[in-house]
Amino acid sequence: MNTALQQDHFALFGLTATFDLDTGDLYRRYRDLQRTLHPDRFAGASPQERRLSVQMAAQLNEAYSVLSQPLTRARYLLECRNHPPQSNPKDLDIGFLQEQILLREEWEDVRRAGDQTAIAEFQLDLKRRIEAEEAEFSRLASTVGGADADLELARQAFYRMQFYHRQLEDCQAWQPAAN
Amino acid sequence: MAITMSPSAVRHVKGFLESRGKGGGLRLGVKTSGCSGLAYVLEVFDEVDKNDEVFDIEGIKIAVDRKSLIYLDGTELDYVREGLNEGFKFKNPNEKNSCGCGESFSV
Amino acid sequence: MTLLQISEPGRSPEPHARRRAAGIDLGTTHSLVATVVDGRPETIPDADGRVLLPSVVRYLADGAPAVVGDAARAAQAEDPLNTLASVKRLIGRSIDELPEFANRSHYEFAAGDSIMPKFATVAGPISPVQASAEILRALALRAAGTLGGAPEGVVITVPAYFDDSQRQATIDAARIAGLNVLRLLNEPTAAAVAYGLDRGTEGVHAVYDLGGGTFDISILRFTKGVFEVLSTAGDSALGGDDVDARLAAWIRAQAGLGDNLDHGAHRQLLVLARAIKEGLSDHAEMEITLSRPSGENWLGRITRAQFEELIADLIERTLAPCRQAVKDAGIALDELTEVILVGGSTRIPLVREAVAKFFGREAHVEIDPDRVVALGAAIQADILIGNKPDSDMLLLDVIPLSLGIETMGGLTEKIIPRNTTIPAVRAQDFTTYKDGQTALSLHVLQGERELVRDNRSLARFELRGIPPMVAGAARIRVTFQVDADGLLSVSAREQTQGVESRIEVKPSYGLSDEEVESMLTAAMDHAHEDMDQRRLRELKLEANQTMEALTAALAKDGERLLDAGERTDIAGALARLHGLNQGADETAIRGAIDELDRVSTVFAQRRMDDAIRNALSGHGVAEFSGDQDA
Repeated sequence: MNTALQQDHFALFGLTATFDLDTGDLYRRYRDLQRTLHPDRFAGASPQERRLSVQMAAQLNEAYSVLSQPLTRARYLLECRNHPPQSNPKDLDIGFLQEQILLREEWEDVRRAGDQTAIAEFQLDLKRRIEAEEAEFSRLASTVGGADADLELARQAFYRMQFYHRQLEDCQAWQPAAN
Repeated sequence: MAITMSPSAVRHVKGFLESRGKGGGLRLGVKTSGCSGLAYVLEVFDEVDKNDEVFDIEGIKIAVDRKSLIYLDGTELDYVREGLNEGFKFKNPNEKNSCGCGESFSV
Repeated sequence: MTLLQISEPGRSPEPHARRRAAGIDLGTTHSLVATVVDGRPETIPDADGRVLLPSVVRYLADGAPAVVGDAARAAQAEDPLNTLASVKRLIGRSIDELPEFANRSHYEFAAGDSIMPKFATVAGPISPVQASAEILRALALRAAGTLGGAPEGVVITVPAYFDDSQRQATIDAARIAGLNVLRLLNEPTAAAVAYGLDRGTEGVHAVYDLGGGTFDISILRFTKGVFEVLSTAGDSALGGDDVDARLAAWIRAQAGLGDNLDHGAHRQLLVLARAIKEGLSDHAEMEITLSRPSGENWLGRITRAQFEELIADLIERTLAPCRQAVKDAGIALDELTEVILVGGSTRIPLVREAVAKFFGREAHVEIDPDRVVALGAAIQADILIGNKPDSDMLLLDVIPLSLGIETMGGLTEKIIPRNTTIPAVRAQDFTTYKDGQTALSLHVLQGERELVRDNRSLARFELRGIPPMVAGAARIRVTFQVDADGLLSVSAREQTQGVESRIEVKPSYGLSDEEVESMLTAAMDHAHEDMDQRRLRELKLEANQTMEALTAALAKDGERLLDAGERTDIAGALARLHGLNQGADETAIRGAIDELDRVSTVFAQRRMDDAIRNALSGHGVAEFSGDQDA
């Protein structure tokens, strides 16, 4: 097996695993690697190198798509550190469950009222919540290793981040009937 | 003026001329082209031109036009095998830079 | 180091002889071929100076070669059943999708076992793939005249919204035409390349491409030589043909022709409609003269306003994909730098108005919308064939439609979502749902809908030999890989028990290998040559390419990356293949290629790793110190 194909997503870019990533730097690394590995660079190469190039360029695209977004980056870090997020988490904090219900109700009210300023304000609030959770996640899980207790808290932060993201997507997908 | 040929080059040129059946001999020269400026000419000739110098190496007539001659002084024509490829090679002491692939050079 | 051979008088080769490459725009109504001359892409005209080759093929009786282009187009009304037009609308599609096309186009279809439609012609049943191959062959011949020999490699453009079947069918057509396809390139991306290199405007661009039979919208970012497609959407059955059909129906009704036109009269009406449509791009009103079957002429007129009313909903239909693409790209309309128009149908003033209104700005049309795609393809072909080793152009395209698999209840589970950058690879685990289940059947799908029956079925296959376990215990990993042409391959393996059970498939669109082979044999150029000879020739070519590429790689990196023993192994395998390739033993040559492949694997991998190190060397400190528990 090729060493690069075995590498984790961060190592592929020559980076240390961390949540606090300079996405501009990540993009430049991605671009320069893709310039080197893309199948277009191997059009005249042996069939073997062409196959390898497809695999590696695909791996690079996958790694970039995961690392470039905070939400997927957080999920990936949790997976790497043996705390993979569950698809139906059972151990959610009761306070967070109540918050979910309240937020959904609030959105219903705002949406029905149709006040554009209120809709924008609601979305801005979600974005602030996401930023806060990202900061929390970074504090708990950005460093190498990390105590189990911290990782568990980081996983809870991830669940909240994920919920706010989904709620935000719902808001953005919603189109007032008049439009 | 000295242009020489390695024994293997002599063998291959003679073989080539024999199998072609006709032809006065071998034309060597340079032309402007390529990424480093000049490129070698290696052709069979049927007739000599009035600008040609003609001399004889091991019974092979070699024609070189006078302009090319100054670039080729001291050159040995060799025939080599490299990996799966074989062919002629100009060993030219005047050559200063050649491009990476060796298809053109400058003096 | 290149070694010289003795040339004929005056025929010494130019150093760095350029390799012959061409870009082909295989269009619904017309096709073009272009090549790079002195660093600039140029479309190649025929002997009469015409650049557009009508995508029309007329088949003749008694084994006479098919006629392609203007002459075929002129024969449409006279010989409608043997003269095939707009076959691109059918390529890679199955008979089930036919009725709509068949009603409108007035062809006759041959009955057969294949699920692929075939036209009944005097030359026998002809598939859309074969007709497309004739068009490609005509273009390659035209290019050969300019290039001084048959093209060694071509880039063929396809609509961005083409699915896997349509792409695969296009590759098959090229194979039948005897062409070496360097890459399938999406049409809007090709146009962006031509614009990007011509104007050099960096930023986020929208390419609106309305052709004869297909509509694409792509949003892409162009910075520092990188063309990165952010999203694409479209409709692979919407184009100028539909506009023609609308106008033809209107003329028919006005002229009181009734519904029962014969094939020839119908085709004649479509030709007339097309001419009127083109006229209305420059004139506010057009006169229509139609010769009726009875002999007398019908005279009518249509204004641009009337015409626009007729087609308004068709143009409106292009805007939903535009909305989708902008949303998927995650950008706001005012973040767009430029809007580019591509395709002959964007000459219709109403289209330009609709685009300008939607995007809130005038679109760019500096490069002829008929030629721009072929020009972009030529640039890409020139790079891929190796004529511009220093080029740092990079195209990052996406898949237009999600790829997935059927799960219980007839639902589709997406594995690679649309707009994922290609090449792409993604794996998903599945399990058994019965105790002792030893086989799993997989149904591969493409499309956005939830229900399986609403998506395109690409392949069905079965993974057998799963060790018997309780339900839910097996772990079957299904891996989807999409290459740079947008083509999918799927592999599946069971991995709990270490018992290797594995399968790999390439979806086919209902054309078996045998069918492709028989089409190859039927193809004129190869009629003199039987299949065995052809296979041997292709195998030898593969062997030569492999040896050539490896020899070049060895010369460059062999000393640095391999030890003496490894070099000896590779040299030995090279020499054996070289020797066997002089002969005609297919099995032995295949074996020697595989052996060379095996012994040089480590070299290929080290070269890749080395390339990665080089690419990263310009970037800040790379701390490999390690996330060891990661």
